Amino acid sequence: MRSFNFAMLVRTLCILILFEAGFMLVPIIVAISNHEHEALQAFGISCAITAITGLLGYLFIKPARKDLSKYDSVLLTALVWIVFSLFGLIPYMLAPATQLSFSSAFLEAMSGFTTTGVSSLEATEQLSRAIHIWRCLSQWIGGLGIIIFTLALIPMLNSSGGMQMFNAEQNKISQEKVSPRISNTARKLWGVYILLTAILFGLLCLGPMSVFESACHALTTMATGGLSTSSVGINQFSTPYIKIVVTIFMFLGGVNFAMVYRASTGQLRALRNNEPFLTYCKTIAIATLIFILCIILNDAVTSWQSLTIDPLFQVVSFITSTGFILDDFSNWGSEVMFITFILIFIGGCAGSTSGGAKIDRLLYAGKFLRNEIRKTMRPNSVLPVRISNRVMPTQAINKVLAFLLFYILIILVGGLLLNATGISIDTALSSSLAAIGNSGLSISNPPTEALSPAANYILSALMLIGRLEIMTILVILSPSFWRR
Amino acid sequence: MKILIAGAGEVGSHLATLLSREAQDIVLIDRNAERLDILDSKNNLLTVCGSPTSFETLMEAGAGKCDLFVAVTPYETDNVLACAIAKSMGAKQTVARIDNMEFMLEDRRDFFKHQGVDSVIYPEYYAAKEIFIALNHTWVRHWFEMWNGEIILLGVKLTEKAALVGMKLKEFGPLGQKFHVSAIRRKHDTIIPSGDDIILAGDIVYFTVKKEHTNELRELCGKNEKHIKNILIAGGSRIAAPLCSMLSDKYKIKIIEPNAKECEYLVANCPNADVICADSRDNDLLVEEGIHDMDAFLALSESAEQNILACLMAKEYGLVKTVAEVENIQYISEAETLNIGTIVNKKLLAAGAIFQRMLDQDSSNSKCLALADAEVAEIEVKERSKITRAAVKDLKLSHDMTIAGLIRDGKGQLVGGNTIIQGGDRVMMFCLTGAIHKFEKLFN
Repeated sequence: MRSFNFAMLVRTLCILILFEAGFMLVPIIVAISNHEHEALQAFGISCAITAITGLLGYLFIKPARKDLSKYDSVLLTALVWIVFSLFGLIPYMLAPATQLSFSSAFLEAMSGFTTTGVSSLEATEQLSRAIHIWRCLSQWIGGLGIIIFTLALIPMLNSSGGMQMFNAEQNKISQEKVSPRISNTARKLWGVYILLTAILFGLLCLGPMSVFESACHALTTMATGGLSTSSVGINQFSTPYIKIVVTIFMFLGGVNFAMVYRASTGQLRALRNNEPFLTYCKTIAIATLIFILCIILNDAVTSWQSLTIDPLFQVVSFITSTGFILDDFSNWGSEVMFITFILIFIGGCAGSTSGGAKIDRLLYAGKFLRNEIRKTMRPNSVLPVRISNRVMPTQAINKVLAFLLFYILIILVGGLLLNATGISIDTALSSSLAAIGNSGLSISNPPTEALSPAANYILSALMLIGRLEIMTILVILSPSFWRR
Repeated sequence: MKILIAGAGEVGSHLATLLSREAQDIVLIDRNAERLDILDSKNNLLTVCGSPTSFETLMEAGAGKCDLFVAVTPYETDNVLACAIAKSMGAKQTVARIDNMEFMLEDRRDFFKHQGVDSVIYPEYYAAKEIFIALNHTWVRHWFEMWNGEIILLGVKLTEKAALVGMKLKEFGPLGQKFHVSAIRRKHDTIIPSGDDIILAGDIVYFTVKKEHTNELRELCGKNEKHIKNILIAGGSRIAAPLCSMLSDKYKIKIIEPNAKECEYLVANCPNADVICADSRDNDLLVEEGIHDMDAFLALSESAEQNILACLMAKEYGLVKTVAEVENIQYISEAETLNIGTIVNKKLLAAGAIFQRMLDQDSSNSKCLALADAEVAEIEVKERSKITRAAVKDLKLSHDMTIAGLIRDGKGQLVGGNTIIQGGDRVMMFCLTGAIHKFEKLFN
């Protein structure tokens, strides 16, 4: 077997867990201020377990070597997400209102951190506020990425090991540094993220939402996670104001954060010349038009909103993998479902908090395929794949094609495996697509509570694969990773 | 400090890697996307793919806001042009790599300043200078002078013969007044020693010593100074040419170079050398050309492996001094453990020149020498900087650096635990790689 620096790996993990323990203080505060004694107990215990584990590792594991190899870093990145979910699930198991089984709690936690937003918790109104804020907070942390978050805070990781972890979490195509040093990049991206969330929170507070609900929805909207404080989701606040505000911020959540940062510093040219971003806008526009058409054809017009904000809201919610669903959506006919699946497959811009295969990759692949078609008749012509006025090297195209091939294969394999656990084939395939795209749609039927543990783990795995954009997990699963 | 490096060739990549470890903001520009990708995935830096002489690329890379712009592409004309563009955008300081003795001359400086090139680096020239020093001091590996040689840093490889071998540093007693052990290079590591460290045979020990005590130190190390007259150079016209212009008629130089074109160049540029067009690996030829009568053998070809082996062979002929150019940094420590005299590396020399510009942006008072995994720097101490606030032992210097010596009022002196550094002093700092950025805190 390859020699890994396990001591350093575990120690780093323990340090990262301490951060998670820190995040658990938020639900504790919420529980205290709302006098939720049972939730307070559940989170108190969870936080203590997490913090003690982290501290023990931090204090007592003294690695002989401090350097992390490329292999260590990739393994660490994947493990961070799993370990975060393992500790993040404790409250779900302990809280009296939920008391999920281990596998369901794991799915719940993983669905949170990967911003998927699937939930096995049905009657969400009965949940304590502490559980609510924890679900939303975990989506928010996972939205931009756990590693990015820690890179911004721990100088120790500001080395080549940290670089590799960053690369493993942000798949190469989507990585755009805004500053030469990784810690600065991470800080700037988080700065934008926090600022946008704060603005959204303020705007939501102005509407019909309470402060607590605003906080929850701000966290999940910015992370394009899509969890809500009630089982009817966003519909309980379906005023035009809320819908417009949420649409705008979901849209921003689907844009490359490095670009948002540039735009916020006044470099608007970066946005105007960015082809993936323009394609993202165009796709939304076209899908919205089709939605409107379907709504008219299906006689589902109930008010002016059905032809304007509702379809736009819905399209943005799907393409950014947020997964907020309006009540009326079920009346819009089966044609919109078809578009919905395509949108979930596409996803937002690379480097955003959204899921899916990412619009950048589909743009590359689309141009490549168009060239191939042209080449059959004019084999001597040299046709470049030009994105944002830059000719992409063949290697980059190969990477993208391999990614898309794996992506489709994994959806199929995942769907078949889910089917094998007793889920009907259509639900299994759509669930697989929604899980890898971190979208969280359609698994509601049948409710996940009825899922077998095997199905829970399969879905969790798909979510993680989708969140880390495939390669990091595939690499770890390949035997050559472990062999010398 | 924001540093732009144009050209990700050997020197550029090395600089970028090294400086990114010094916690500087590095942006690397090159035409080759693949090469950038590899560097980007391993190092903490930003890469920009494009031509170093394109206005747009330089604008995108932020040349206008950078503190230091270093152009190290293979072509000196590109470098000068890139510097000129960067300067016009507002780069604070620009450095161009050149490979031409003419550009190096003092009276050309104003011309380059006018073009927007603040200073030039010429790694081949630095290598020639290193070799020149090595030929004058045959018993040392490194010889780094400070303030006209008032204080000298010496790297000496100690053999069993040396009286110092087997001693703990704190056992030196009165000897310790005359020299200071700044660092010990043992196998692949460089150690900043404490009093309890023992000197072993095979170590390369870096001593700081005052000029008048060098001979005493040489005897303690069990070495003899030998005079060099006959020099054989194998390959490497790019270094050989500036070297020949430095060596006076006191020396007899023979250059063996396999490439006929290069030979023509050498004949034109080195009138004091005897040029032979042949393969220097040919043993019979070497004997024919009188390798037995040679004092020094310089292996300066492009191939590090060939140079190392050629030097080993030359040692068997009983030559006093051998010098190998080893361009591959990983090979340096291996080569040091073998019995090769001095090793020169253009990348390290270039890095030293850049570090020097990093250390003081306003004046060119600093001097810096980069070793395989350590740096030596001469720095002027400002009034009231942190380093002057306490005696050396109370400064709580981190373990990866030491103060090797200082110059006060033009006189060299060694530094002990009770020394208090004063403003206006010039100190010689020895630090391990990755620690040079810590100087900023100490000296400001």
